[in-house]
Amino acid sequence: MMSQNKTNLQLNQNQKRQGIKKSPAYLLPFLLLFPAVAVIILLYLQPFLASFWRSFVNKQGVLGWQNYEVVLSRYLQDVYFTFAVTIFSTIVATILSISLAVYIRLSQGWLHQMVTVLYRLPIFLPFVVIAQMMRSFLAPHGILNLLLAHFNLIDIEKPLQLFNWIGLSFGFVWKEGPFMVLLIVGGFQMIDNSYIEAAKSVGANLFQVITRVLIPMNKQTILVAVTLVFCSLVGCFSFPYMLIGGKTPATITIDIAHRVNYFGDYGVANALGVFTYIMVSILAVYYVLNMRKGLYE
Amino acid sequence: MKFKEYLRLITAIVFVSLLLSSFSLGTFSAEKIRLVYMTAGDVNMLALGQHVIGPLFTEQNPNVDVMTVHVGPGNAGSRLIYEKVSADKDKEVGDIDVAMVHEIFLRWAIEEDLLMNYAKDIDTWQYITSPFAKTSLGINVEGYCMPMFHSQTVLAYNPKYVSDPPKNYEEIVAWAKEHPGKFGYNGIKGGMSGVAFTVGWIYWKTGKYEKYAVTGPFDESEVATWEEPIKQLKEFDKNVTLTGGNVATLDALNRGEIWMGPVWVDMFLTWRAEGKIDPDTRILLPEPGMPGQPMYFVIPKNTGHPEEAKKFVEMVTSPKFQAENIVKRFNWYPGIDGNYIKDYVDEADFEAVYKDVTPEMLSKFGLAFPLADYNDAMLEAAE
Amino acid sequence: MSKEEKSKSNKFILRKTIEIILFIIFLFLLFAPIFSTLIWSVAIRWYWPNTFPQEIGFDYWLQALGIIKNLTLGAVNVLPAFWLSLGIAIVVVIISMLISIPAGYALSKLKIPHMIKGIILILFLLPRAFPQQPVFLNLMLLFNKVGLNGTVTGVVLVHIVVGLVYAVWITTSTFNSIPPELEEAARSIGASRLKAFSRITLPLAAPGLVASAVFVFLQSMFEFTGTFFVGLPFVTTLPMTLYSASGSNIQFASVIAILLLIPSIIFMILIQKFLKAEYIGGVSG
Repeated sequence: MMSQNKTNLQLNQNQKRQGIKKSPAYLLPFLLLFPAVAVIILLYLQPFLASFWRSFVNKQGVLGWQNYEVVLSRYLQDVYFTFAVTIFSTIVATILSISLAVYIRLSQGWLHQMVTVLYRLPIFLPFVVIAQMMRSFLAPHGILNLLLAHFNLIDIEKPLQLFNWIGLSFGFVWKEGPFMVLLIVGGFQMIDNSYIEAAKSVGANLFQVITRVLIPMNKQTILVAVTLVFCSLVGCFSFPYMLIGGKTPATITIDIAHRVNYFGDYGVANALGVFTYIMVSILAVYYVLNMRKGLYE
Repeated sequence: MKFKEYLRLITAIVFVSLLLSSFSLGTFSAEKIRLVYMTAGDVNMLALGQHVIGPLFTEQNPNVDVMTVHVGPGNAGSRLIYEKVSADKDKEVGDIDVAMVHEIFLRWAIEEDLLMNYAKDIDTWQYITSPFAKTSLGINVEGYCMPMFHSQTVLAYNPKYVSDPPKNYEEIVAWAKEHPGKFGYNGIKGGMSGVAFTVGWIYWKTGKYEKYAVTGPFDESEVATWEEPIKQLKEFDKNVTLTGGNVATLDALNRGEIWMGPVWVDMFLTWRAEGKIDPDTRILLPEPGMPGQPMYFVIPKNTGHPEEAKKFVEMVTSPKFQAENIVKRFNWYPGIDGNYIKDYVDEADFEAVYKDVTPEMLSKFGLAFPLADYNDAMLEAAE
Repeated sequence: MSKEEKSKSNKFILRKTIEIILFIIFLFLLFAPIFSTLIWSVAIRWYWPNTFPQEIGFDYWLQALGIIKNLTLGAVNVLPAFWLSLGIAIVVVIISMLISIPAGYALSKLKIPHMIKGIILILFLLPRAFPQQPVFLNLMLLFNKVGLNGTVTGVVLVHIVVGLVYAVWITTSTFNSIPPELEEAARSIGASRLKAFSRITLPLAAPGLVASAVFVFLQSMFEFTGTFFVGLPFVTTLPMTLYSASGSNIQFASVIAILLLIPSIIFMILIQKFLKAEYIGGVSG
């Protein structure tokens, strides 16, 4: 950061000496960012704000907090459930993907090569497809249970009940884990071997190498991965709907669909949406604050 | 390196533009009329539209091409059609010409006056005797819709495991207690088969079917009387498997996880035909009955082709079509009165439809979903 | 000496065995769900208590490809939807990258107040975070006023909005990991910003940008909710066909699922060399 500032300063002075006209410092960023931001503002911001607004208007057209009252009285358990499952899945995915990323970074061999290629597969499947697969894989008489019963690990009449938060988390981790691995491995590759060798030479074991060298040096990529994954999971609809559709507790997205399709009630639906937005905002604020601390520099 | 990349880029853009333009232009010549037929329901509705109704209609009306669009199963599908028609309502000419929808759509659409009152103008109106064509969820819908076929929720059970099938709700409760987890339904979220069971439960416990579904009026104080039945329902739920929706219940039957559960008779028969249900599985209607609903044809008010749309509906509700496709091909209950179909279908096919659930049972135990406000209230109460 | 060697090789065998066991579990968890879809796509009759279908065949495949038509089985030809999805995805990738590369560069390399950077990044997170159905419904109402509903252009625009989430975040991250010293070095000897960018930064970032493009492609191929609302009734993409089938007809849904897999896997093989992990996070060798 310091060096960049210094060089910029030098450049400015050089240009001034050469009498080159310099456009205002904000013009270039503005031009470069304009198309992207314009797209979002034109195409997304209005619908998003309209949603936000509608959450304050109930079915009879009255302005107020009624919708939120309904959410708090009836769907609060689902809000907690969504939050809990998303956080749990994100944490599990993070731990597993860091582990896998470490393995990919530090190991060698043909086995390792295969893993490096194969793990990417779930990235290329849409959630709708994954929902289908998990439905027949995780079912009480589905393939997983049949296999476990075949090896006499469980009794087929008392199968593992996975159509709940466990199955949901499994599917979430299955889908988003490889994506996280991809991002995190990228960051790990940046860390030169010399750092790892140095740590090992002062007696660090594997765990310490991971926690003292790899993770801290790669914090920014890990944070980006966690943020993107958390946001994707919180808004996910197709998979929870197919897996735990009629049960309680349900995710917020299922409740939104229910309010819309059975009651035509967009007021409560949008109010529910605002709750997911709040969840994301908490993470996003943490992220921005970290940026301020110069995480990126 | 750079030039090659530019070349590749330009080739890609040209190729893709050609590809896309071939889709926007479409395959319709200037003289031909394109009739847009949007249907909810399962994917076999799409197949029916694309492979049977479309070609047949074009055969009879060579200047019309039918474009079948499928929106998805369940209330979600009908909701989407409603969103689309409602969004179109200020347009001079809407995009949709004919739609096939569930009951709940009528309620939303008539409230906003989105539909054309066409049914009495067409020939096949004379064959309609079902009360569902005149009132739906308590709302007067006469003239706004024609039933394409009638669907009924029934209890499906596997006779290999269910030796003495329950004949009424009372026996269902007892059976579930003896075989915990072997009865499955989807509660009130995610599918109407579960809703049907719940509604039937309330009918049974309160005995007030007539008031809730036929005569009305909506009486706020009734809601309090449901507290006890719903508590008992939650008790019952402890012995059952809660599934994700209509399909999840059938799924569970397919995998032998449950031996009994409420299903839509048309979905059930389709699954059996597709080899996903043990062919020995039977169905029955428990006393005092379970609700059913037809799927309706509606025509938006601002369709660009009202005459063709009416002819379309007329064709699909004609006794011949109903006999050959609804009854014979799919083994579903016809939308028009069954008596008019007898001429076009042989005994065997007629029997196949009514094998387990006879017309008498249907008339006795085939109920309706409650009046709109009661419907809402029940759904809210059971949550 | 030999004791040490022995314990070392024992350790090695132990480690390798654990590695292999974990690998097998890994393979199982990865492929078993896919396997069950594969079986369903060729199951003609399959119900309990059989572990495998009673009868298999390729009927649903033939129907999906439009080669035969069978109504009681209820499947439909999906090839037109497939080609449309592919075409839309390619256009979306091109436009999204053209927009997001400058944006990512600006967010990464240019002096912008942290507050604004944060707000912009959060802005680009929204389309994924807020549940899609209510928002895209409003978008449909908006598009209605300008006549974009039911058009391919409308669908492309929706896909771009969704794709920009990944595109902007990943390009920003990619540019972030290129040390600013490299570009500054070029500029200090007189190169213009554009030259420094195109000669130094861009080639280094290229593999990461390609990864970003891959994600945008996937997002577009699989985008469902927005396409659903905006595309009806005239634009039918492959995910919509999958959704319409994913209710009831498992066999048909499984066929489409595999059909969606195929371009993805081909993509994965083609992009193999670009997705070398070191490029996504940083500098090439």
